[in-house]
Amino acid sequence: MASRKRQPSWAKLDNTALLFPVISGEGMSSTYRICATLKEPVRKELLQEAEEKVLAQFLTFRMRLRMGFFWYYFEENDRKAPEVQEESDFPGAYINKSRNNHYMFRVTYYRNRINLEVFHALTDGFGGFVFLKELVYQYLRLAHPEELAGEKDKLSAGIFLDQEDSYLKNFKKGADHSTAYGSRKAVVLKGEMLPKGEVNVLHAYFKIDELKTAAKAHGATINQYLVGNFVYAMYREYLKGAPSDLPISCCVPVDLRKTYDSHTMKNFFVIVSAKFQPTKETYTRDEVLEFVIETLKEQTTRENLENILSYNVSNEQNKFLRPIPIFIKNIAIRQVYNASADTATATMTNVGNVELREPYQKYVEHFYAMLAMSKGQNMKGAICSYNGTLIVTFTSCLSDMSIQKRFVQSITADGVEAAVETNEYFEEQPAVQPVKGRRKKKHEQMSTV
Amino acid sequence: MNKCPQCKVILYNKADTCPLCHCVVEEMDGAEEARVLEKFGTGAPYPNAHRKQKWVRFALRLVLFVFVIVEALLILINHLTTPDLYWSAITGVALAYGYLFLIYWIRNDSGFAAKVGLQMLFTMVALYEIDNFTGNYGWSLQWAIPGVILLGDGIVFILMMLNRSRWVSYSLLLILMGVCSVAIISLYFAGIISNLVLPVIDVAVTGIYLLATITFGEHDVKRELGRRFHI
Repeated sequence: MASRKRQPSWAKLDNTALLFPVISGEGMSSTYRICATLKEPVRKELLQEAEEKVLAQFLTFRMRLRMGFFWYYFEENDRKAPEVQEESDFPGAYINKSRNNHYMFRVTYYRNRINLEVFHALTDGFGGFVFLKELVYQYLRLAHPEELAGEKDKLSAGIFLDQEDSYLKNFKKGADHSTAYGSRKAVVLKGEMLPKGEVNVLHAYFKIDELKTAAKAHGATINQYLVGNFVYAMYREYLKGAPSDLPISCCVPVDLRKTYDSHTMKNFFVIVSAKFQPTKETYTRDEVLEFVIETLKEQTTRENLENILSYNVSNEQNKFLRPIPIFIKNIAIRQVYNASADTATATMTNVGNVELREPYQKYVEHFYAMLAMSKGQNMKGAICSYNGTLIVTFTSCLSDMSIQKRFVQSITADGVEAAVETNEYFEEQPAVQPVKGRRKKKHEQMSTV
Repeated sequence: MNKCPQCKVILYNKADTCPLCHCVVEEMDGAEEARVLEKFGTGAPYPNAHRKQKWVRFALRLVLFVFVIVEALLILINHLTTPDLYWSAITGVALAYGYLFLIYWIRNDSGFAAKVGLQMLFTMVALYEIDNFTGNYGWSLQWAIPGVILLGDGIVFILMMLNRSRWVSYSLLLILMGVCSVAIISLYFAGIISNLVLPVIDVAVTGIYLLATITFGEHDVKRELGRRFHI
């Protein structure tokens, strides 16, 4: 007897995901990129096969976004897996879902690098890395069937495919919302912008043990040290070390999984801010670091994280707001988002240390992450480490790179050796190119100095 | 690999100047390069993404340029031939409508149903405005808009046939057509329109179509609507 066709499953968007479909478009992609660099060139056909195999087992990624009358929602997508393509666009470019079989992620490659770009509504960096690691494992099993013959051709044991909405699960009514978010404006980084859609990428490579020593000397953790140096670089290069009426506010996403013992593959983070307002002439780097460390410590207490989480969810749970049609909600969400866009200067996220299973480690050189630009924030940083090397990746739509320069120079001044790489030069062409447009101008200016 | 003597950083890019400070870089010797590769591993260069960006931008600007030229010519012809009737305003609206929807279809990533639904609504508004602009003879409400609704029914049918495995996903678009049909026929009872031929055909066709969808869709339609209208 023929069985009835299985109905596609569906899911409500988590609290963070509700924002992204409303504010995203060609101008603001809400897409992050995470990459794995192999020690060998990537083969397209194997990567495609790996993607198809892995996707079949990840319902979180096998979803499409649909618009309801009151809310967006996810519905299982039974279309073919998106085609793996050679990288040809800037990192974090908008994923046009209708041209991507309605999937909200894409896999591209370039030489040795595998890129996974994910629309943030789907999952955060944690979920993205779970998928990327399985994709890399699967790819390597296909590329090296003999060397990895002992490895089972299935998902790694121990990973969670949990899809609970941990925001709702851990939401507490009646939490103190007054300290959740500040509405005070912050410094906005302005300057000559790159042409629309283009983004400057700079990877700074450091060794973790050297960074640890340097951070310890400043009484900070590595994360506090890097965020502090980023804030200091903005203070010195953008504010020129002068007092300011507005603070430099650096958003720092905090993964809540450890705090709440969650294993969800959906988004589960809140954002705290490292703030520094220069009120007098000239602060030393140590003074700025102290401010940053202090504000981060204050905000990453369990109580404060709980307040932020509850504040975020309370709006979603409001019984008077829920039945408002989506087109009205969208207008309101856009207004609120635009109004709050100038309360942050930049973002620095730490996706943590990536660990691979032993037999696969020798094939992988690096992992790194990068964020797309958002309204009011023209520069973002992402920290990722693997196998003793930590990579800070700055993405920016400003043509000036003096903040990145100051950041790297501040760290090397502490005796940490650094290597950098940018997307400004293309290796298939001669090193100094006759670049057109604004980039050409920049090169011309350089040559006259 | 190179090294910047100013920033004291190692550079993976094979460029003549440091990307951070623009200082001319120094080349590393073999032993030093081997040490760095051992310490940090190899870099991963980027492709030239400028070409793709420029092509898309150029194509859209070319279309805009052609539309502007065409409209300018039409305004000129309008001025020389029938200066008392500004028909070129209608062609201007039509060209602007065409261009905006070209961008919408290229850039917006909603599904077909959402795109078709929105375009139908805009077309109805545009037809009504053109009718108003040309003397308010009532042809838009009595003939053109009901015609668009019928066309919408046809498009929904074609979409359902082409995408049979997901035919239920177009039921919301069909409901939109149903709402528009009822709205149009109610204009007769409000005394705004006098001819009922097309509005009645609309209500009949859309009604039968909706009934068939609900009858044959059974749980699928119920499930689809449950998801679409979840609060």
